[in-house]
Amino acid sequence: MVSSQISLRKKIALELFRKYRKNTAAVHSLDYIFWECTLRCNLNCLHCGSDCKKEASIPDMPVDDFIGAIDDVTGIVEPNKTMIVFTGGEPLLRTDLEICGKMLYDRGFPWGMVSNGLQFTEQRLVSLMHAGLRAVTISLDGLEKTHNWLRNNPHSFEKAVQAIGLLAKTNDVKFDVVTCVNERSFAELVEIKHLIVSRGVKQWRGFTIFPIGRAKQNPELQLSPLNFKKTFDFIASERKTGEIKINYGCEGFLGGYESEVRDNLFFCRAGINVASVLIDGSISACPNLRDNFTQGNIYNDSFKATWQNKYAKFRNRDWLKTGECENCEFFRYCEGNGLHLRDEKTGELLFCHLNRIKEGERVIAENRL
Amino acid sequence: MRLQLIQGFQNVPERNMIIFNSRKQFNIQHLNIAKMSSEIKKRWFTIQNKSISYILSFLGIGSAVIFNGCMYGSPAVEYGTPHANFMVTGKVTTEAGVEIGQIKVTMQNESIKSDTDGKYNIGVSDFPKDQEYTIRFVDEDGQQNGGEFAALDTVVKFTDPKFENGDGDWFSGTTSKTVNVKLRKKN
Repeated sequence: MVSSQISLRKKIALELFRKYRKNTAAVHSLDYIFWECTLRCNLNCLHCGSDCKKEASIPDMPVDDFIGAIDDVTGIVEPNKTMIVFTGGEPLLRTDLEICGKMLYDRGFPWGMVSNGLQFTEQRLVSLMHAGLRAVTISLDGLEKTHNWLRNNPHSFEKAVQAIGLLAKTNDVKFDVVTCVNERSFAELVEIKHLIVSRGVKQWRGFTIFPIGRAKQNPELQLSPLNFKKTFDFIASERKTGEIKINYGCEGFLGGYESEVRDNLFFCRAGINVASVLIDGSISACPNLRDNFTQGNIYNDSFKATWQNKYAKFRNRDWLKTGECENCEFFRYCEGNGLHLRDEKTGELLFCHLNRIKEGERVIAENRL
Repeated sequence: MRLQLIQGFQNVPERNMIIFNSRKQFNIQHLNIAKMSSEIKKRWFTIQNKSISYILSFLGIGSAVIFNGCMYGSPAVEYGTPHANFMVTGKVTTEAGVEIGQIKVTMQNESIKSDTDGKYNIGVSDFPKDQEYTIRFVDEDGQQNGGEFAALDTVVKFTDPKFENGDGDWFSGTTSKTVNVKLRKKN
């Protein structure tokens, strides 16, 4: 597949989808809320985007403070259609997740969490389910050696696989596995697939590590242009086999790969449908968007009023048409990539998926010569 | 008498209040109209997006509009929530009470046709709480089955629903309502 070749059918779809995006930004319904419930973490991952530590400098947010913010927005959302996701740090380090979960459940909100699986036990899973847990994402970044290298812990693979096994035999919780593809795990993708399929996983999402947090200082975590392109070829090919439902993550306009490597066309919904309450009370879009992307703080501002009256820079992204985006023919479909790939202070684009794929295509072309 | 006046005043349509009330109230009313206009626009955009979704489906990219969660996010809400079945049963008749078969009955994304006795039974799975659905009745076969009838939308409200036969865990059970409708013949 070639990234710059977009079929007429796909072009029509992309043009229509532009209108869809604009309409969605205008409607601006809040459908997805992240809660960065802790910055504490029991791992010390090489690629962490949160800069988490075992002992966080900012204490965990009290449940009542978060619930107060949720109660504030209840009037403008349909609770049972609004997903709340606990993220971190490692959410399972909080012993009061069940209290928060139950309060959300009583208000009609489904909720889920993202976990590294290290503290995932059957007893805790049952306890969380009784508090309304509906969805879990487990990170598995490679086979044992690779996963433990990236996660910086000799037991992390074993625990993640155990958590996957537990979830696979549980009917009432939906789950998926997320893999951050890097140079080491790229070579293992087929084996990872076999492993997780054998453990009962039905949904698998792939991400590529982007230059943020600790990953910024560790360039070996980035895929080479060639393997970056090949990752998309792998996903496109696996989607055709139907052995497992595999999707690339939410980031990056991918040219000809659009609709071939994920169900949806590229659309960064940060601040359009997605909000976050960060550890210090900051109201943002995705948890990765901090600093200049912060729109308010639940300790000073109404979450509801912030959602209704702010988020202008998320809803109209014309301001991102600078730098390498300025003359890009695909800006109309991409609108400057995911906002988490923009420098938080300058807004500069840190990574263009399409250009990286094109680099990989050039490597292939040069090798053929 | 004063009470009657107040009650009468409260019944005056909202737009007319602009004429009678003070400048402050006019401004409030004006804001309400602006807000209403914004809501109408949002509804219009939502309708447009539904149409776009259909066209994208036709183009074979039907999942384009699905929101599968975000970076580090877990699967979207449709992956499962505590749920219950909301059933609506009833009979479709003419205004004179004659049963009409083959009327298409739609509830959210579900649709069925009424049987020869005009009976229908339709339901959806949803969050176990108060719910409201619009049930649409459409005559798709023209003059067949007793003539051509005008379409009808009926709102069914489930308030404080009682569920039966739940599994004691996430499936709360089933609740149902009977809604009999009379369709008007097209002239």
